[in-house]
Amino acid sequence: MSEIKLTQRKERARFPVGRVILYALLIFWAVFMIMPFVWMFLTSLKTRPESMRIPIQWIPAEAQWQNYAEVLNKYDFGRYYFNTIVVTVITILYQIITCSMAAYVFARLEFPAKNFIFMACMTVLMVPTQMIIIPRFLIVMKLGWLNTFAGIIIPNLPSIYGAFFLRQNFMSIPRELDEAAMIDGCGYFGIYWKILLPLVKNGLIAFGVLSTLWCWNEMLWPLIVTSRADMYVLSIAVSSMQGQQGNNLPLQMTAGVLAMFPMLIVFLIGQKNLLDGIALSGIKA
Amino acid sequence: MIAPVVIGVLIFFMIPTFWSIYLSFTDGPDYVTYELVGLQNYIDMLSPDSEVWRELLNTCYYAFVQVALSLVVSVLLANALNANIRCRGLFRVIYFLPSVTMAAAVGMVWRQLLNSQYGIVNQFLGLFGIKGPVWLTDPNFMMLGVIIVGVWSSAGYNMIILLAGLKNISKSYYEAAEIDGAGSFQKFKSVTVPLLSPVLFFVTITSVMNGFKMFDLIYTLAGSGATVDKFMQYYRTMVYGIYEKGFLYHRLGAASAESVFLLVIILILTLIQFKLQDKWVHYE
Repeated sequence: MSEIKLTQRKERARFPVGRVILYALLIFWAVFMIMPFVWMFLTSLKTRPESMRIPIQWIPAEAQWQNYAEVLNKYDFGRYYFNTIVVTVITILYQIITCSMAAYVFARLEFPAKNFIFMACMTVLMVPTQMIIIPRFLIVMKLGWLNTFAGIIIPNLPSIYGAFFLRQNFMSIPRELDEAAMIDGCGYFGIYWKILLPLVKNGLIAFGVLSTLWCWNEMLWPLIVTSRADMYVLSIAVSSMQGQQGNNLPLQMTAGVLAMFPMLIVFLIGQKNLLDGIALSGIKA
Repeated sequence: MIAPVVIGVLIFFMIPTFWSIYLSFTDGPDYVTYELVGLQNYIDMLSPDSEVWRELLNTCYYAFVQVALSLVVSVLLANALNANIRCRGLFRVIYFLPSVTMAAAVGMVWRQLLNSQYGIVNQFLGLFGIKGPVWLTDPNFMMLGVIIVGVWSSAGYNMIILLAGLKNISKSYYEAAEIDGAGSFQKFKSVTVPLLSPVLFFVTITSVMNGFKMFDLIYTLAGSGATVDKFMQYYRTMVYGIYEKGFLYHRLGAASAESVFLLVIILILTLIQFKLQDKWVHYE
C-alpha cells in the first residue's frame, strides 16, 4: 500500500509542468461548464437594467428575490411544477416496474418467439421517436387526449431502452441464485420480486434517475399535445416565457432556474449510481 | 410480465412507424381528412428548390461537426481525468451538469450569452482583443453557435463513458509499451486508441443519432419563435422541419414524408458506421 503511494508521489513529482497543464485544462473546462449556470442564477436576481449592462455587472446591487415570487405566482409556475411532477412520477414508477419485469424475462426466461420479440424491440430502438410524432399525435387526438395528462404521459410510457439497460444488470447476477430459489419453491415472479430486484438496486436507481431527467426535460412531445396554458409542463413554460418576455432577462432566468433546480438535486443525490450506470452502458454495449 | 412493454411498443412505436410511412403518401387540408396522393409528397420534398435540402445541410453540419468536436474534447478530458488526479469525483460531477439540464433552458440561457452586445461570450473574447461575431443573426456563425452549445452540453456525457472505457484498459499494456520505449503520444496512439475503439464507436453512433434528432436546443436558441424566417433558415433542422410542417402548417403528409426521409438517412448512416467499424474498431 505504502509502496503504491510512493510511486504515485514519484509520478506526481516527475512531471510538474505536465501536471500544471493538466490541471489548467481541467479547471478551464470546469469553469466553462459552470459559468452559464452562475450567470443564469445571478441574472435571475437582478433588475432589468442591471441585466443588460455593458460591461457586464455580475453581482446585483440588491438580490431581487421577488422575481421568484413573481414567476411562481403571476406566471403560474406553481401549476407547471405540479403538472411536471405528475407526469414525471407516473412515468418513472411505471417504467421502473414494467422495464424491470421485461428485463428479467429477456435475461432469464426461455419461451417460443422470445428471440423474435427481442429482435423486434431492438429494431424499434433504431426508429427515432421524433419520426413517429405525427401518428402518435393522431392516436392521442382520436382518443380525445389532447391537453390531458393521459396524452402527455401514456405514449411515452413504454421504454425499450429501459428494458435493455436493466437486462444488462440482471444478466450480471449468477443464475445459481434463481435455481436455488426455485428449489426452495419460489415461482418466476417470486424470484424476480424477492431475489433479483433487490440485487439490481443500483441499476434501478441509475435508470430511475436517467428516466426522471429525460421525462422532466422533454419538450417536443408536450409542445405538440398541449395548447392550453394550464396543461403546460415546465419545459414549455420556460420556452413560452422566453417567447413572451423576450427582453426581460431576470424573469426568463428565474423561470430557467426554477425549471432545472429540482433536476440538479436529483442528480446530486443519485450521481454515483447514475454516472456508474452510464459508464457501464458504454462498456457492455 | 413482458406484456406492458411489448404492447406499448406495438401501439406507440410499431404501428406509428408504419402509419407514418402510409401518411407520407397522403395529403389533406387538416388532421381528419386526407387522401392518397402517391409519391407527390416525395416529389415535392426532393425537388431542387425544396427547403428540405437546407434542413439536411444544417442537420449534417450540426451532427458531424458537433460530434467531432465533442469527441475530441471528451477524449482529452477523459484521458486527463484518468491520470492520477485530485478531486476526480468533483470534476466528473461538474462536467456532467450540462447533461442534466433541460435543453429548453440551455437554449434560452445561451441565446443571451451569445448576444452580440451584452452577452458574456463576446465580452470574454473582447478581453483578448477579439471582436466576437454576431452569433444570432450572422448566417456564417449561427450554426457554429449552436454547435458550441451542443459541445458544451454533450461533452460531459461522452466523457463519463470514455473514462469508464479507459479504466477498463489493463495497466499491463502500458507497462509493456513503456518497456518497448514508447512515449506518451505513442502510448496514446498504439494502446489507448485501439483498446478504446469499441467504446469510441458506441459513443460516436449514439452522438450522431442524437445530433440528427436535435430539436429543443435550436427551438429555444432561436427564441421560441422570435427568430424571423430570413434567419430561421440557417437554424432549421430536419426535426424542426417535421414539427413546422406537421403542427404549424398542418400538413401531415409532407411532414411524414420528411420523417421517412430522416429515418432512411439515420439507417444509412448507422449502416455505414457499422461497415466502417471493421476498419478501426478492435474487439478483444
